[in-house]
Amino acid sequence: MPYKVADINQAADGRKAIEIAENEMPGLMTMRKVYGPSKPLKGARIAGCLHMTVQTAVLIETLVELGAEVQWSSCNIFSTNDAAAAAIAATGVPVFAWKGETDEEYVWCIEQTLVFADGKPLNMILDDGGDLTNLVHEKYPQYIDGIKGLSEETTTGVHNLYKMLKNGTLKIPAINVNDSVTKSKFDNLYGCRESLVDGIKRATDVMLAGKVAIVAGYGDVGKGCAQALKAYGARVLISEIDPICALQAAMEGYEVTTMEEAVKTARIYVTTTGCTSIVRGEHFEEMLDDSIVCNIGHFDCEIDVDYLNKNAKSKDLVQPQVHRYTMKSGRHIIVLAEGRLVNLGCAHGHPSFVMSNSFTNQVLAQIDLWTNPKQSVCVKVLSKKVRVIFYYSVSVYTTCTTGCLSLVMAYLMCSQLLSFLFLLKLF
Amino acid sequence: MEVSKADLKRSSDVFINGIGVTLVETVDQPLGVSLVNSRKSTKTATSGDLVELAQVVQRGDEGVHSAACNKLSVIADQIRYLQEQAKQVLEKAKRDSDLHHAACNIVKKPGSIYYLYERDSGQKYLSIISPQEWGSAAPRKYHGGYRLEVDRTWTPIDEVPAKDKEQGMLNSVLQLKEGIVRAAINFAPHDHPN
Repeated sequence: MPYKVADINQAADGRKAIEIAENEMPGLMTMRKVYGPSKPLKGARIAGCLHMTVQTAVLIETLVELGAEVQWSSCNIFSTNDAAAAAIAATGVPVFAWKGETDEEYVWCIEQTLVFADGKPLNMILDDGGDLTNLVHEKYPQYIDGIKGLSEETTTGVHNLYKMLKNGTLKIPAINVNDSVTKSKFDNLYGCRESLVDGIKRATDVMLAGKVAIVAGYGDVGKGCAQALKAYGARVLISEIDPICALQAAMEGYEVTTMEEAVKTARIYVTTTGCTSIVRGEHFEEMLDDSIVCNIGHFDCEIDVDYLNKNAKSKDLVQPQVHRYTMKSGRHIIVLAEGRLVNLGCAHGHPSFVMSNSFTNQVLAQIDLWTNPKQSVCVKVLSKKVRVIFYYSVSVYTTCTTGCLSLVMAYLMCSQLLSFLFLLKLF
Repeated sequence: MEVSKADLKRSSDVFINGIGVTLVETVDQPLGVSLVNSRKSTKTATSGDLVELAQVVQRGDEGVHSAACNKLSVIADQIRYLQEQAKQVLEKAKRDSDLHHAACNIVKKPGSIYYLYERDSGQKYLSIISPQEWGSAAPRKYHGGYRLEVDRTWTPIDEVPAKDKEQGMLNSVLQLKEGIVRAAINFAPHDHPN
């Protein structure tokens, strides 16, 4: 059986986690119920490159249930859950992923997923970050003609796709899953709302109630973070350059201010902007003792950690992903996850439920690309039609399974269906 | 063969061809009896007798020497073997330690096989992908595959079958011993007062 995982003996442990995750992923389970019998992905050979976690395991088994053949690699060298990978490998799905790959092993793993057991190459791509897409375009162009479509999970990969489209190098119809409302809203707003404080608490055990916290940026991520901190009893300040978002923050009762003002009172700093250089040297020098600084926005460019490394008197590792800098003034600054995403570095990333939403979009995108023969080479967001069908089916099934929450969702989704029918009538 | 008359007197040491022959000392009145002519009665019969005695001594020397040599050579062999073993143990310890300290991104698990490669920069690192699996993309320098054992030592992959065989043998001995111990326990008379 072809696979490469850290330890196949962990399969039983992985299976337990997957079973629990299944109940937290109603979107994917509904897809299995709705599309399982008709097997719309029959004949599809999907090469997937996406964090090999417990949630992804549920996605993989959903794709298999819908009739696809699947081979998998992880899109990050450290993000694989070895138990989940073992559990999937044990079912006969070729998985090439383990926690702690080298750069060369990472590429090797992706390459192993291109050709299937019968010697036929992939005909669908499910990507996160664009590495698989680029690999096929640049190193294995002979496979491009056979590939019917690709779906891309995340911002980085989508940027890459638009760049390729602009340069004329994109050869495969693509669906941008990242910008589906049901993906981005859940990821950014509700996902971060739960995982930000999770990260801060795991890293520092600090009491949030009564503290002043500043959230830089009041987009979806900022809204979620501010709400979570407020719910713990912190007094939340917002810094925001977009006037409408700033006004929204003010209307929610937050004090809108600047970083320069905030450093006088704030103990907790959260950056959510997606822009660079939000917390800089001049801010660090003014911060109160043992201020906690973390980022949940875009990668690692929002907090100027380089400044601290160059100008702090000393830097101590308190626990993995938690550093305490001593400034020349004698004050201390605690930086979480070295300025990278705190919910990934210090907590467990998004909960299964959030991933259920984005992964359901992935499944819909795969079905759309596989079953719709007239795809042009472009990057598109999932069509409203597809989403309406999805909402309708989800609403019907989740009503039966997850009670009250689903009833609300059902209402919302049926109203979308009605608006869709209304639109149909118009044309 | 020349034996001097003086040598034949009462002295106890005679040298024949450089071999010392020691005769038992003579006394004037053995057991209190005065001999009529002690020289007559104690004179060595012929010079041949002494040569014969000397030869016996020489053969004895040779025998002892070769016996000692035999025994010493066994000990020398053992010393050489122990030295060799000590060297092997030290070399293996160094290799194991080097393997544990080789760059590795993955948490190593006993029972798994790891392959040691070297980057162009000279950094040695462990991978779970074998040279065959790498195919054409294999790193240029490969330093062998090793299995991590439960006692955190490493076994080179070509020695793995031998190691497994040995382990299997030891296991069966252990099981046998356990069986014997169990049998002994079962057999032991229950001498509780009740």
